[in-house]
Amino acid sequence: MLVLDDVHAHYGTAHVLHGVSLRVERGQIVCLVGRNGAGKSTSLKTIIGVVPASAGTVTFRGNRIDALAPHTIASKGIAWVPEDRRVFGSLSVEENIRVAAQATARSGTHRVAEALAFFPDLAERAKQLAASLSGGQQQMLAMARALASRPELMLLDEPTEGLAPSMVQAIRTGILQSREQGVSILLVEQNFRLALSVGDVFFVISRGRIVYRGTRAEIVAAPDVIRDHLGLGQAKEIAKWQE
Amino acid sequence: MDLNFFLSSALNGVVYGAFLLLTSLGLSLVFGLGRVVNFAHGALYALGGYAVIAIINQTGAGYWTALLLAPLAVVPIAIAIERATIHPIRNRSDVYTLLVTFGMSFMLIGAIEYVWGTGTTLLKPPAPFEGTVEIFGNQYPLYRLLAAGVSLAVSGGVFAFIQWTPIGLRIRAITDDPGMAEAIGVNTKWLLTLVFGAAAGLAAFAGALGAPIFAVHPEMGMGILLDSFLAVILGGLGNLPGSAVGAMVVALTKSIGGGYIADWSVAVLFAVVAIALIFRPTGVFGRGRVA
Repeated sequence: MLVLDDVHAHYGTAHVLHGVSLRVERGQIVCLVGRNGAGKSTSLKTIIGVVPASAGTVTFRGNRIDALAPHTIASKGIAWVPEDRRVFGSLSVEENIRVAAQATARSGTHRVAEALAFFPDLAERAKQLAASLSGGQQQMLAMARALASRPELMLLDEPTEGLAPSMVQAIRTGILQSREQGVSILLVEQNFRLALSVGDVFFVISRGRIVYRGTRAEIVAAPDVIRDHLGLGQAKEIAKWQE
Repeated sequence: MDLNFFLSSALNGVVYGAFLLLTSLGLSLVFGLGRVVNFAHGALYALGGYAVIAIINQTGAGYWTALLLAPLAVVPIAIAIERATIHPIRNRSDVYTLLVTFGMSFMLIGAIEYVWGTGTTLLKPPAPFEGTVEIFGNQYPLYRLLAAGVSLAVSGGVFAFIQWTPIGLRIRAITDDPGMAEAIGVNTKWLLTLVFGAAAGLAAFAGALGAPIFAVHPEMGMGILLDSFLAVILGGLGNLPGSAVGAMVVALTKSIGGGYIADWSVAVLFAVVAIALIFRPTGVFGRGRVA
């Protein structure tokens, strides 16, 4: 479904991605993990077109998308939930979702109700300004907004960062429900236990390069990879998760 | 203090504020969408004034027909300007667009002088609105009241459009976060082009509507451009309701202040804006960008 082949990206003169190659197949939840500054968020931004790929190819459903504008990429069925949520603060919850539903020709306004159904907490706050929501509610709104465009692939960047455990569970449920509805997911997540609880395939990125690919069972059985590229803390998390 | 004089000055302020509202909305919309500080806005206002006179003189059309056609003549010019000069440098620093529109303003004024000369023209108010009515003990031109009403009605229509239509919703989303709006599927560049054209249309409409009130001359847009900037800065750049209140504050300060302290009213106005920005750098009504 999504193929990145030897993708390079720069911020000005800084070379951030050094030939990233990864795949997301239909119906999969693929996790991209790595230390801070490894290139995880930049990989997602390059897929959605916010950061242009300076070399390599990004292919979605067999078509090159690496030279397209972000709005065109969105219209092809890719939705991005950025790390800092970036909800439209001066719009209501319902308007945040409606503008995404209307922006692409892929969906109708009925998607507003469907997207809200993923997160019942939000449905109660449909008329509330997005800026007045808590961090967790804004994260739910960012996901609901992404789902409103009926995406085939959702790019999730650190969706549980800084959230209370109850909110983390709500986001996890939203991720799994999205997959049940046929949305493939590329998930960047620091909460490795959460990633292990939802992910099918794992890519480890380090200094802008993919250094490991494996299924959940394979990465759990490779503690050296975890320790070397994600740190001792994450290796301990895996050990706890295995118990 | 003569109450009638005060009320007449206030009425003049409301009438000027209604015009300022039209031009400020356009400026604020364009800044909100594209972070474009459009210095050519005043020249487009002037172009509206000249267009209405040219249409009447060249085609023999009545004033009201010409009033509707004048903005339609200016919009394509504005869209061509945006596509040719602003669109190609959209990814560069805001200073580039500021300089381009600044230069474009002088080019448009030069073009007006080339085609219509440097003289001043005053259009007669259309029948049956040439007369006056007595308000606050003074005879007040009927057309001014009508023009203010039309300006307020058109501004209300703009607000309704922004608030209740799908395109208005996209405009509000872009004003909030252009990068994110683009990423959810909104074609932000084309929308900026269209809004730039629509804002120019509003400015041209104001210029055409004001032709029977204010003298039409090549630099007629400079004063209203400055006042419009003060209004949108006061209200918060990109904040439409704030710009509307800002327009009225600027117009009333100039009009009422001008009645009592003459040219010092301009100094008072700048002092009000400066003090407001010291304490509220994103505009008195918030949600704007730092000026």
